[in-house]
Amino acid sequence: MTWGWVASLFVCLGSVCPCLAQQDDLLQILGDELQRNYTTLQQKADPKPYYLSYTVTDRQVTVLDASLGSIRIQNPQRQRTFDVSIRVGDAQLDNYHRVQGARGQFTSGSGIVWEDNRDAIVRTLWRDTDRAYRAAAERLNLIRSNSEVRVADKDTSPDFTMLPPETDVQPLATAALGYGWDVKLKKWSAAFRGHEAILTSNMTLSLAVDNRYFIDSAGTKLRHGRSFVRLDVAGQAKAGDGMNLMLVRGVQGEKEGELPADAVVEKLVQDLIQDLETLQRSPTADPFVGPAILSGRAAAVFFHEIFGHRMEGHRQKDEREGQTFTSQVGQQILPTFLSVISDPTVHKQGSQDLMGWYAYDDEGVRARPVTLVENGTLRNFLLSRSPIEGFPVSNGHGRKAPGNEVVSRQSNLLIRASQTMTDAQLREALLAEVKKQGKPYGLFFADISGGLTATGRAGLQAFTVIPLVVYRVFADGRPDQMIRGVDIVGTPLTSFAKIMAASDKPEVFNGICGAESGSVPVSAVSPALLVSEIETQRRAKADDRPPLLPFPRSVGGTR
Amino acid sequence: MHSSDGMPTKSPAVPNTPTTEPQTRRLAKTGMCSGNAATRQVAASCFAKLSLSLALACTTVLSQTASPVKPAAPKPTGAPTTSSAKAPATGGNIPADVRQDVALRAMVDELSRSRDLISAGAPLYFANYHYSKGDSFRVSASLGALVGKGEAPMRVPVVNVRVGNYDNDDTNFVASGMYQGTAYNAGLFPLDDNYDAMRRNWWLLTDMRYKGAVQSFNYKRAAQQNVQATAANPDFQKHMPLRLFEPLQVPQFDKAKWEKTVRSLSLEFKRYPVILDSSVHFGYSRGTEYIVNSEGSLVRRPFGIGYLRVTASTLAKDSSAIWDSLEYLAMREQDLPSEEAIRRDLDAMMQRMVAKITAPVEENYRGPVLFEGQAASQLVAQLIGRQLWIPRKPVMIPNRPVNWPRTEMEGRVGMTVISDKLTVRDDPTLTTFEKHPLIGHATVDLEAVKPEPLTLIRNGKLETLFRTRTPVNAGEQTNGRARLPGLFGANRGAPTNLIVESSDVIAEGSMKQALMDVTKAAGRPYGIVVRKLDFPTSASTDTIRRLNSTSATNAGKVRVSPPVVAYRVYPDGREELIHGVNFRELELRALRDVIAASNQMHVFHYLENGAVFAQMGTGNYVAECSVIAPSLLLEEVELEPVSGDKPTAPVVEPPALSAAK
Repeated sequence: MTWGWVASLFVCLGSVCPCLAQQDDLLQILGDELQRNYTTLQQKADPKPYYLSYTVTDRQVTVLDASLGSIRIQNPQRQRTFDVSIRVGDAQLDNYHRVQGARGQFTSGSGIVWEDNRDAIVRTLWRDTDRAYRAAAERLNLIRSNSEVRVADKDTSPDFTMLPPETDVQPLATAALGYGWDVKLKKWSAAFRGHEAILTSNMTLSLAVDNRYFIDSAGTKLRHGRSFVRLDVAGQAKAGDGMNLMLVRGVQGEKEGELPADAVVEKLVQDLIQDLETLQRSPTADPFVGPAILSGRAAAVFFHEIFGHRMEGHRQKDEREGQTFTSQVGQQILPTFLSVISDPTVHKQGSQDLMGWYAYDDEGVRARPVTLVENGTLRNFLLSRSPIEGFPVSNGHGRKAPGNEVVSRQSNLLIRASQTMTDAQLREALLAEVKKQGKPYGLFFADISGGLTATGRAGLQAFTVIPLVVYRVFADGRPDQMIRGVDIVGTPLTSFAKIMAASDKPEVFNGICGAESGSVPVSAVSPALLVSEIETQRRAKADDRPPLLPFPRSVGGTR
Repeated sequence: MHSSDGMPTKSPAVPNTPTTEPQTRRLAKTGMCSGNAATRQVAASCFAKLSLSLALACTTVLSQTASPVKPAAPKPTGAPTTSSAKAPATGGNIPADVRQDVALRAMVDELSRSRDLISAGAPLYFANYHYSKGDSFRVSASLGALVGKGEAPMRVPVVNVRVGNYDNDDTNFVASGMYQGTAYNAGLFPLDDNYDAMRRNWWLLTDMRYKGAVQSFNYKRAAQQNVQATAANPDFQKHMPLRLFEPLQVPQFDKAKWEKTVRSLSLEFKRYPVILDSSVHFGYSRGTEYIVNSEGSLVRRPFGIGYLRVTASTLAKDSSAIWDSLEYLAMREQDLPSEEAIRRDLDAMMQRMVAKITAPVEENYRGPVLFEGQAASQLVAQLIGRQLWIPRKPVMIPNRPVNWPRTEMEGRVGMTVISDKLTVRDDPTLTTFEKHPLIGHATVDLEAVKPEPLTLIRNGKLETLFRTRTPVNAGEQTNGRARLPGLFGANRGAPTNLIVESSDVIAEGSMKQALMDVTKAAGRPYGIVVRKLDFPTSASTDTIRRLNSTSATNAGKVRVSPPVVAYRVYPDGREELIHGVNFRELELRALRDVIAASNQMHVFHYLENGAVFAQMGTGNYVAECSVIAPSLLLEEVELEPVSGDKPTAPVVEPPALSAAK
């Protein structure tokens, strides 16, 4: 399996709602229909269900996009999605049991009406419950008959954990965009005018308000929500040798008021323009093996990809997975000065917003911090309600996008260092290491867009992250030189062994992580890291030439 | 498998489908709108006179001698809403407001630069820009509650370029249209007609298209190297430039009114709780269409289409699915039926569905079938309308032949293909038929050619087909029916207003008696009357799946949708509703034996998108079509029960609805 992490939030999310008419209580409607279906299925169905849950995700998204001083997208949208999870058999062996890595898909993520109209909603709930039950019963039969001819799984832990019910009905999350954003976006995006090397550019403001309703047959009843607003700026250029160059930078908050001041955004835009134009003229990278500093943001992506995905509980149980860390609990896997915590309860790192927080996961389990690595030693995994050997209870990391089935996922991945140095000291340490290794230069990875990792057993246990802005830091004191076309490559275990030091400034990388259970918002926070050896390769580049005709300069008055 | 690339928006290689646009925006991109079209066809008059200054317009093949691109006078933001084709003032025959249209000017200015795209051996000889600018709206409700609502602006740019020459270019080759280069994020256009931004987008889109065309052309020539040349048949036909500027009367729809209507209609289903699933949808798509090409064509015209659709399904006593739908299409709000009329249709539909729950499943049947009312027009649309076009067989890669299906009409020009009583015409000039507004009215096709009325089948004999500027056989000229994008760089034909007339008619009211007579004469216990087909534009997913799977195994044959409203008609005139049947091998030849045709014509509208499942809103392009036909009594049609396993009944009873108000 390969997982990606997309840095920006241009994913066209759902929608924005003009009205939230409360005609009936949605939780009540869900609860009544769940009870009616569950009771009858228990009485009459064979095989019987032992667990049933309903989730409604009400997502309203407003996207405002501008380019070169003009608005291009102005779309409020709304989606209200119903998901059902039904388990037949028993907690030890049910329809969700993985068979040679294959997972069941039972929910179809139907749209439901925007208003809490009982008649219209219960019809959908009933129809989807019937559909999911049929699929569940069919798959359980298949699993049972297959088990007669297959060897037993190595991990014999059950398929599900029953938990005591939780009740928490929080106020609905609300947020809206005030007036004047279109004017600002036009102004900011107009800064790209006249920069002919930047072929396309855009500024996108997106506001998402996400309210989740969860009911299950054990009596859990939850309503919780969140909002987030994000402003991204992106530019695309092409180097003379055909290499495509793309930079994306963003800022975010929970509400629009938390976005930075205009001057900060303007600087963000100017910096991006400058970096992209410099990058376009920069020399290409040569393959390199040697010391490097990963900026905090770069290190955060590095950890998300090479570490975070391998901490996801279901991978430890799935015999098709590489299971890099499965048997290493209690052993040292990182330098002793590093600890790693997954904490979906924190909303901020300093003044910066984190995207990976939530009150409850998508299986109705309360969010909680989990120490994955303590002073270099592996302690725990990210767990959903599907337990793994030695870890029988969920720690609130069962997540999914609407329409998908839950697996264990990351939230806010926090890399903490107990011994740190300043950025200047870290740079000195890099130069010392460069000289020690007899290299002409080391690398500084300033900005990174995202990456992908393959965790499957069948493929190479490797990862790729996509650095955007990389500098050569010369041993002889020459000024740093920006280079383009660098990809970091490597395998997880060897990379960890090379971490030498950490800075004292944690940096945040927010993104949308795509994996088996869909796209979920995540964050990773890390100090800059010095590594004694990193391996880079030349990025595969496009071979088509830059545009053949010159930039279309308008003659005279243009508008 | 997933991957990440940090790209802020994923712009597809084909530039006309910005990913952030909802499906509804893609409806009716090629709206062929009615209105008092002020059509002006100008032979070879020259752009150079105009401030638009498309100097290349005079040349059919782009020359290397570039003319300076002069700017037009700056204009205030916002294009004029109406245009007078009689306002030449300055600048020749182009109305002032057209000359000042910034969107058009950006197209003309950037297209005129494409002459400079000359690569070794693969010069660009033709370029065409198509731009749709407008907005769309949709609202859906179920049992009185909103299921969804949204509106979005729509800006759809499409660039076509051709390299080589008219005789042999990059198209009509199995790898035509493939592009492996950089996908610039240039498909999203500014909403405010920002000239510079539009120029930049057209520039990048043209660059991508040109590079793709050069790749295809080189590949094609390599493939042609080892293949014996067949009869010379040009890849593309040169055509006189068309100037068409219609008043920009973009249709208006009352969104609030329709939202209320949709909610209110959807509430009707509460009266029939046994209908388990239902929804009502309204939507429209409207705007301005622009075409500019390097031959000098300039088109600006409004388009618009609105629809109201009702879909409902439930389970029969035997748990098989029952489905029905209503669909109304119109180019203007006032042409949609009144709410009262829709309510009457809806009530009839609901009663039919309830009756079907206990109706018998039809057994195998072979005998006379009366296609009555819209069922006849639907049959004609599928058996004739969708087959009057033949795709050009592309150049293949040697040793890698592609299975190229033959279509029913192929090689049959001059032959009798249907009953000699029937004549089939296609008339794009009609805006109404016996006071019924038509949606097939068209004044220009995608290739900037004005469609003229045609007789396709005269007295049963096939005379011609829908043609585009890509001739299927040497010597054929376009008849302006390039209404949808086709395969390998060609466009495909589709009807406008398709009219079937019979030389021998009887009263509409006598058609059922005629069916009873032939049934009796043949000694059959009953005949069948079909009043509605599950037409693909609004069909159930079951039907679409079936049509899809059958078309995959019956290459080249268009399948007819199953009847959704059909009755047994007994000799005493009694009718019995049936369900769960499908036509068995109903093909064009069934129209050879027409026992009777009625004196009344029935109008049916649909949106053609070229796909088997030509469902509303699924394609990038749609062509509005109206079919007008009499009721038809066919001598022999076969019906068979729908195959497939029936599901077991749900364990849990459906939930009760609250009391109807």
